Amino acid sequence: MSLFSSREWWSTRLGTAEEFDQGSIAIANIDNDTNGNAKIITGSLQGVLRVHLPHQRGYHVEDMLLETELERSILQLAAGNFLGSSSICLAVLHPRKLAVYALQAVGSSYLQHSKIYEHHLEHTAANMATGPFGGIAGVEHIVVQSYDGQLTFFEQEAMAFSRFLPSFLLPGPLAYAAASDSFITSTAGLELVAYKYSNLAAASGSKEQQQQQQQQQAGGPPAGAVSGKRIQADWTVVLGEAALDIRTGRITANTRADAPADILVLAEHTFFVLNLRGQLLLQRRLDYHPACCWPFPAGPDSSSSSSATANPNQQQQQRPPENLLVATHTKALMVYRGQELAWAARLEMLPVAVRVAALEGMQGMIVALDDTGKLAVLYLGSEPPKQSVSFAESKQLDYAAMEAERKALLTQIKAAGGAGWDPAAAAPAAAAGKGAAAAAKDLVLRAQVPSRLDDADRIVREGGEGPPGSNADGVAGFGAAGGAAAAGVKQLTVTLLLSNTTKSSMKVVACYRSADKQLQCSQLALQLPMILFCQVIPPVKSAEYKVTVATNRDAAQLVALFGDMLVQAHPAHAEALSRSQAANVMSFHFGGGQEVTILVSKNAGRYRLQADSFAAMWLVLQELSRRLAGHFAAAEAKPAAAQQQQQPPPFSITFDESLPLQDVFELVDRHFALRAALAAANEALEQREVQFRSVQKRLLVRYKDRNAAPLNQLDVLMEETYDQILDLATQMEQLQAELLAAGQALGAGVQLLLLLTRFRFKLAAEEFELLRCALSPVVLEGPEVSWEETTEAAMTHLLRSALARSAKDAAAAVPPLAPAADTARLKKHISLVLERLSKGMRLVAGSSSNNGGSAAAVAAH
Amino acid sequence: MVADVHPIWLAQSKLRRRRYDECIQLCTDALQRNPVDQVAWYLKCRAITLKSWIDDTEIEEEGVADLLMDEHNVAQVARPGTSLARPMTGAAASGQSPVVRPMTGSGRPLTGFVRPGTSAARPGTGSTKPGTALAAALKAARPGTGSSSSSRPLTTSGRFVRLGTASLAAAGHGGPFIAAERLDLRKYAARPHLARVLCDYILYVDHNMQKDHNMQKVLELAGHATAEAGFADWWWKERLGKAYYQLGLLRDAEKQLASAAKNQDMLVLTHQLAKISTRLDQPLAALSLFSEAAGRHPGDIGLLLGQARLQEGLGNRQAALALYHQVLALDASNVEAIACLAADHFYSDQPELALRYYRRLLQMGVVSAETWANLGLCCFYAGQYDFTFSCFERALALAGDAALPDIWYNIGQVAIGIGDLSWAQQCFRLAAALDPGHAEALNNLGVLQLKRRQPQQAASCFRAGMKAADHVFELHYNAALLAHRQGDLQEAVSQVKEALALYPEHTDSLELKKLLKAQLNAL
Repeated sequence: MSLFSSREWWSTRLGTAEEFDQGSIAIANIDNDTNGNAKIITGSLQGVLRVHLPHQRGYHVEDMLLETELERSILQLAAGNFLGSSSICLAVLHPRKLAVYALQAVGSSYLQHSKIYEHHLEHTAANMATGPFGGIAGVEHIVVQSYDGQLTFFEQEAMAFSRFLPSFLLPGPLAYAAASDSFITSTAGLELVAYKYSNLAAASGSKEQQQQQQQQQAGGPPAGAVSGKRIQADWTVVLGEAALDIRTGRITANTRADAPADILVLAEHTFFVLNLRGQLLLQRRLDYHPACCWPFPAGPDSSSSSSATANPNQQQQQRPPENLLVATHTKALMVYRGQELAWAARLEMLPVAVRVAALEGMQGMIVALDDTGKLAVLYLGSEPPKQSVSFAESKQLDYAAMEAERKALLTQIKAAGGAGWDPAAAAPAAAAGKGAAAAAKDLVLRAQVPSRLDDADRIVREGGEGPPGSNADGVAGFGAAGGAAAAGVKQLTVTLLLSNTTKSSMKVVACYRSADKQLQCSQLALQLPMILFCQVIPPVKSAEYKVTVATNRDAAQLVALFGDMLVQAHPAHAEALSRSQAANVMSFHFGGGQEVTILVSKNAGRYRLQADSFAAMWLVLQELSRRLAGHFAAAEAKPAAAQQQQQPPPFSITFDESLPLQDVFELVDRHFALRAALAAANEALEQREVQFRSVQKRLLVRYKDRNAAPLNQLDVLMEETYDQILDLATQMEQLQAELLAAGQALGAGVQLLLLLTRFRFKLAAEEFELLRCALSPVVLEGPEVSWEETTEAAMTHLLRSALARSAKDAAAAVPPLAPAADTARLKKHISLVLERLSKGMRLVAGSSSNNGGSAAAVAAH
Repeated sequence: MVADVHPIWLAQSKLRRRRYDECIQLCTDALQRNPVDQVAWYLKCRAITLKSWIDDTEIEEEGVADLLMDEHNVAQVARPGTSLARPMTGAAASGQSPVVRPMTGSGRPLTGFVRPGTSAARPGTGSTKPGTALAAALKAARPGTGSSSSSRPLTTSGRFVRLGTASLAAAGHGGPFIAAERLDLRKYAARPHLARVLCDYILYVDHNMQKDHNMQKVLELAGHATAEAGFADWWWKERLGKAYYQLGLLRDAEKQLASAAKNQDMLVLTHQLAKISTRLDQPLAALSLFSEAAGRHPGDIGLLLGQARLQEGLGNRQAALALYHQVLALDASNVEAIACLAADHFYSDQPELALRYYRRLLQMGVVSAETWANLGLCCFYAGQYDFTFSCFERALALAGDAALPDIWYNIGQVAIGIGDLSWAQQCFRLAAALDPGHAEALNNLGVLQLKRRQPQQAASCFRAGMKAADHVFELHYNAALLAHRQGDLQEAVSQVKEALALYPEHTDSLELKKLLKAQLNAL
């Protein structure tokens, strides 16, 4: 992360598909030009040696002074005074050869290289270091480190001596510190080791050959000197990290001006500075991965330009501390001055080597080389990088259009139901409008029941956005959902199969996802047509059960009341019925075989229902009461509006006989008995299963046994048990079906009882609902607790609360819900509830107190 | 091509250039030719290790397992100002009040720079509500909740394991490179240059065996090697410390590291020691470690930053600021220091200065959704309204799922600032929808609902917020206010107590509490 980016002054690409490494670059006035221009020398692993001299900004062909192939890979280049004649020449390290070349200018734009001397190396070379070893003046010597830890010293044309380093595994970077005349390298053990040149040179001269021979025979690296004077490390420091590069230079600011150079070690995650005695002066943990480094003299004083950069430890007098240039793998270039980060710049490339040199008279140019062969000369510009941030809104803003867009978006948001708080909408009118809009969004459910049944019973549900009030009449209810909002109406046809006929109404619930992906739900209660359950047949006489209800109106015509039923009836009979408009008898035949007949007594407005099954009557009675109420309401609405007659008392149905409790109780008993039978069958089945399983187990044990015991008729027993299980299962299935039927009959009976109770005691709708909840007509079968238990609990509750006669009643404890042993208590409680109702106690507190109030008033008179 | 270059030389060169895969390939070839080639083995081992190296001196997030099994019971209720779990309690704490500066989930003031461990609560031993610690840890760890506040790695140093497995798959063709359980570690310990890379390999790479077992191997190897080195090698002691730390034996680790520091004064050791102290919730000890080391290594940025983080965590704002300024003097492009200074200036009502810092970050190349969002806020509060929205637009364009809720929340703040409450509500809704646990957004949404006279919805917003996070005192205060208004004094009292527990000096809460007390007394 840096504010600035480096600027490229000159760059070129060296060859194609060539590789370069740390040591592949050297900068020196290699041709000993009199004007002292430094040249950039590069050598690739492919063995191509090049010399460049940038003249001006941008690359030009004449910048290349030399390009030649040396046939061997170039591992490292070094420029220096290797001849002793004060002229700079070039040392080139090949894997098995060290060569020193002199380069001379031919004319103005070419260089010519000539080999001065070369040494063949016995061992594969890793790297080399140069310097005035042993403190000699005027000439530099070369040391080559090989892969088996041999340091070979060359003094110009002669090979001086070679030594094996102790405990060696892998060559690390090698540097020569002139001030202490020692070599610094890092070992495979992540340590930094320094060897004095004098120590190396003095180590067992005569025996060394011998030792070397031994080791060559052994074929392994030497484990320290065998005898004589051992090679001993001057000092060892554990760095704990592998060194990438080792340089010498003066980094620490607070040392004396004549202090000797420091050792700079660029490790993988840390940058260390040590003094020549191997003490850590400075550590800097790097938060990036460093690639390479180069110390360079800072400040205005850089008169010693080119040679200083080529070999910075040569002259150290009166120089300010050096800066350190570090290139990172995050493509940045850091300049450190002591501890301080003086400059950071972004870099376009990922260099393997950086140098600082004076090129073409310009001080402090950075030369960087990456491993694919891009060579660039850079400087640290102060211009910020180009992709800077600009807010400039180029186009003129069209506020009107933006406002219009905003409004459109707001309406969309509002329409999607995500309306935020709009101050304008706080006004009640707007709120109402919003409410209406929200309502219009709801799904409209309409159920249309065909006036004529299709082959299968079918109920049609329509979904869509039609207005709620639109009347759609279509053939068999499949019409369009209404004209107003025809667009987007989708019809859904759902077939509902009815199995339980204890209810004459049903509920349709539709769950759907609205456009804004919200789950919504809408429901509709629906009266099922009577035609679903029964048919009109010629009158029959079966009067096992009778119920007579009275009305306070004249008798209505049955044919008119049940007109829709005729449609489905047998044509002949329908005709007969419709002809005799005043028929006073009508019979219905249920799907289950029950028959119900309605007899009308014309004068008194009384209706008698008779049937062969008690339970079957409730539907007819309910339909009758519903239709009668509807009939008279319709008949009286018109004349009442037209003639302002005196209002007759509202239509009501009464029932004056005693409630048919005994019939209901019979149903209860039957249901209960079936439950008991089912439970018994269940238990028997369980026993048989246990038996079956234990027989199986025994059989298994016998079969597994190697010396099996005789079966002892176990197989017979098993077969017998199996048959019993099958029988029991069939029996249970039967019982279950019967229980279901009994439950339905019970439900129907309770319905009838409820209706009659209502007629008898003239219960208000609210009260009726309450009673209905307590004495529920819905018979839910449970494994242990069923209708009987729940109803008894409800009855007990009623007796304790609304129908309580005294505080004692109210205090009675409620037993927990448990399976009942018999139905006596239930019957007693039901009759008790009905008896109390007959005595004028009411379920709803308000109405009863009202009654009480009027009674009190009467008493006062 | 490079015909005569020695393959080992090339491998070493590739290693230096961080081309690990090529290096591993070269070494594998060499090992196929000569399976006992120590050099190739060494290089391959190093390359694999470096590939999966991570800087473990930074404090890492603790896994749920760590938290559950944590048996380092330090003081349950630490003295004021001595614990990271009880920030802002010291007398010297000069942090801004939570009204001005929001809190992280752990109740520390929000910092400008997200590091591992800063965002998530550390429900450690000193937490105020011991019962909730485990719940909070598990809540954060549940994967797939979409919670932007970092999910905790499930196992101890889960990151370690994940990194390891990824690189192993690349490195090993059928089976790991080194099967550490089969090696005779004593033999290796006697070879110093192989031992170190082997140790690092086991430590950083070899996670296919069970972790504890793995660390035990390191301990064994390092123990032998220390003995071999005559107990004078700091590096082996440091590795021992590292292994102990990974095993959760913090005191043993501390002992080893302190002993290593006596051998050689290394920065790494200071960082490790400070990390242990922080883990033990002894920030003052860590601070003194840092400051002593800073005396020995003047001008080291890492030490200064370490101190600054701790001071910030403790709520010592001034001290942290001074340290950040020192860091910037040494390294002008330190992102962390700039970001923290910018955040501080922003919260101390100097948006113009914060704006400059953030702009600098942007120029330095830190282009992220968060930077743009911060810039947008600074522009808004500094009155440069024309830039605000283009900043937020860029932030939204750059943002990932984790940053989006916060950006929408901030846009909602701006919307409140310009009075467009309907828009603000939409923004908060978006924030809450993107991150159902965004307690601040839920709080603001609740307040807006309250303004719309929808107390039911407001209450449900507050409830949801409290369920999502328990560090936002505003939620409790608002809920208390609402309950008070509705006459539910009991609820109001309990909520106001919660709010005061989170922020004892909140004036409004105190006043409300006084009022409630008076009313209850009147009853």
